[in-house]
Amino acid sequence: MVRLTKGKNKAALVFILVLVSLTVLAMPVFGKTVLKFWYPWGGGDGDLRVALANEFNKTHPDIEVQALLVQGSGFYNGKLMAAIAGGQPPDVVLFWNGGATGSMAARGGLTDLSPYLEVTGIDASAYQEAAWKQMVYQGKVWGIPEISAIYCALYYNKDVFASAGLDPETPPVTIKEADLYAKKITRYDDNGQIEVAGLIPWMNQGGHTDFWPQVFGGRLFNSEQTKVTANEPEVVVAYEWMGSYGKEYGAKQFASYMGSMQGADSPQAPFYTGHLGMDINGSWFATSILKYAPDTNFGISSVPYPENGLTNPAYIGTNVWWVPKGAKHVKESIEFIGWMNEKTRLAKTADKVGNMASVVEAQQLQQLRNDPVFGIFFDLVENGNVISEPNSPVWAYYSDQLVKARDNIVFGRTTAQEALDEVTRKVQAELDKLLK
Amino acid sequence: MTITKTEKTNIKKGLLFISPWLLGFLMFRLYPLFSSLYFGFTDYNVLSPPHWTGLENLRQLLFDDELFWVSVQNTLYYVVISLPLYLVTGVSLAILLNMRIKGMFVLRTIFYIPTIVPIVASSILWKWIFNPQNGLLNTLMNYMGLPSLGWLSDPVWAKPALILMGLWGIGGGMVIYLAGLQDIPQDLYDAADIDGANWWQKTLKITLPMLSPVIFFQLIMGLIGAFQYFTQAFIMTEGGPLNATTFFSLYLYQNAFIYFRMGYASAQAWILFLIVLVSTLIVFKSSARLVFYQGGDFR
Repeated sequence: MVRLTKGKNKAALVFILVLVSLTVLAMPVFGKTVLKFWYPWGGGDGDLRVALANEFNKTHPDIEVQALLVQGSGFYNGKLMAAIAGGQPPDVVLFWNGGATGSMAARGGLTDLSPYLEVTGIDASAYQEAAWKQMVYQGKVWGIPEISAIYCALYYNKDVFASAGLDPETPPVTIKEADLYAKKITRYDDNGQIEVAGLIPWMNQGGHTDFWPQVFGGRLFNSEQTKVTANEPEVVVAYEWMGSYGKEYGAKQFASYMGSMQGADSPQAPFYTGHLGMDINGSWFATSILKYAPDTNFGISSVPYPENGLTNPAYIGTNVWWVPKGAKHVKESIEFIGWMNEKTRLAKTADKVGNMASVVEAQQLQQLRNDPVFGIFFDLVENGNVISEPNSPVWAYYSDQLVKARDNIVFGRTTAQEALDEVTRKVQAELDKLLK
Repeated sequence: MTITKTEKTNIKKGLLFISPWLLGFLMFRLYPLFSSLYFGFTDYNVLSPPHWTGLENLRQLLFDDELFWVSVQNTLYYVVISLPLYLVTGVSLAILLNMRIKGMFVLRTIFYIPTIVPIVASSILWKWIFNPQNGLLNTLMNYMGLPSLGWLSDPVWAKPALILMGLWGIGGGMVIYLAGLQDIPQDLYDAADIDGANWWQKTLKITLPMLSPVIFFQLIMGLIGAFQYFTQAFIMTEGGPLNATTFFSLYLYQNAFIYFRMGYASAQAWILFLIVLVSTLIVFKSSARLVFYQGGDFR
């Protein structure tokens, strides 16, 4: 019999014990495909996805989805970039901006999903067109839409309308009407600062740089997204319109107003307290109003549009499922995505977070349609012209240039044509580099 | 002179002892440093392999990128104004708080506390203070009969606002100057008293020269830090309004992580490195006449 002496024998025994226990603990994972799943937010939205992942794990014994909260899915802080570049990407990523799909795909960050779609029964025609459009880059499919939301609807404060002598039940439909309404509502205080704002076109969700150009009937790219068309006439008109607001009401006053206003999660937000007549905001704003200032007397309608522009524009954004480049279990990843997007399940998810499923049939199943407030958004999407952000790989740069151009135009430092010519030149140079 | 066997063994042992740090330094500092130098000459989006473009990034930065020069201007503005301001304020404060009066300890603590507030929290706090319509600062100014300013929403006042905000954190430098002040031998002051020197003469001829190594250190560290100013601009203004707060590092970050232009950003990083290097060397050279080290020759 071996005597257990101090030193080597004891150490060896401990080592073996540790090895065996680790192996035993690791047993459940052997034979399973582990999918690393990154999701971008915490709170209710995040918890819901984690709960769904756990449910998936129960019904799929040979796959284990491990959900991990990574702020913004690591898109803006370099984490996702680093994970892909380092060859250790997550297997499934849920991100909140479908438009970024082109950026990732063009640079080789995503796995082409086209070959897997038929097998798992995911079909373009089942999805909202404007959402699916963001998934397609150079003829291939790089992502799957999850849940979408209207980003731009017109919210109006009926009490503010009434005090300004406007009919609280008739929101403006055309841009001309919106201008008239804004003129009647806007009031200044004794210091020359804006006390009640009528409309600030680029505030909140109106700030999406591709929004007003599209409403005015313009396009920021040609249809193949190979040419930048920021200086085409309709886009120039849109920016001139914004510039006119800066001139009329004072760019500095607007900046001061926007710099001092409270966010939607404060009961003092200007829309709740009668300091804002009209606001371009997303469907989640209704949730905020009902939560923080339920007594606000407000209405929701389609965004006003110019006569030769886009009628009843409905600007949407969508969450997107990605399978990063280098993910090792693409088939299983798509299986998980397909399961999460199954129409009854997706409808429930969308209802819980107050948004719309991007699967058209799932949208039809949603309970939210019957809600007096949220039902309006379904209406806007189903009866309007649905538009979304371009998925061009140069979009982040393009958008920033447009913001700078807009600031210069609003402050009257340059004309819209000049600023947009400059944007076109710069962005085209960048785009050409990417397309080479 | 040849190395003896013992010395050789000692060297080997020494290297072995520092090998963890050495490995870490080589892998995580030196290698990425030289990688970024390489990437500065490439077109690199991180997700795909880089491809060589030679001096194109440099050419574009220097000759075809307006925002680059705007960011250089903004950064220089910040460096040139904030550094002297913080130095003078820090030293003055330290001198004032060095007097042996009851309660000085409490005052020193109060001045130091802002430096331990996390940057994100203080940025949000200051955003409030700078609120154009009902912020503390404008309210205070109105009381004194001064007009309200746009602060962070005004292209003219955005940088001064950020510099003003930095003054809040002066306690960190102050503590270091205080330590330096404690180091000045009392007999120098006693000798000056005997010769009939007044407070101002003592400060100018004793305190400042004896404090000069510390001031020099703070100047160099401050210079290096000021050129890399980023966090507050990133959180509070995102480079606006009208690019007034687009600092060098912020523009670099945007290029690297928002526009996927890592190669371009790497070139920027090395330009920043050269700028800081040259500035630091200039300060070093010009310090020879102004900095006095105790216990050595007064060079």
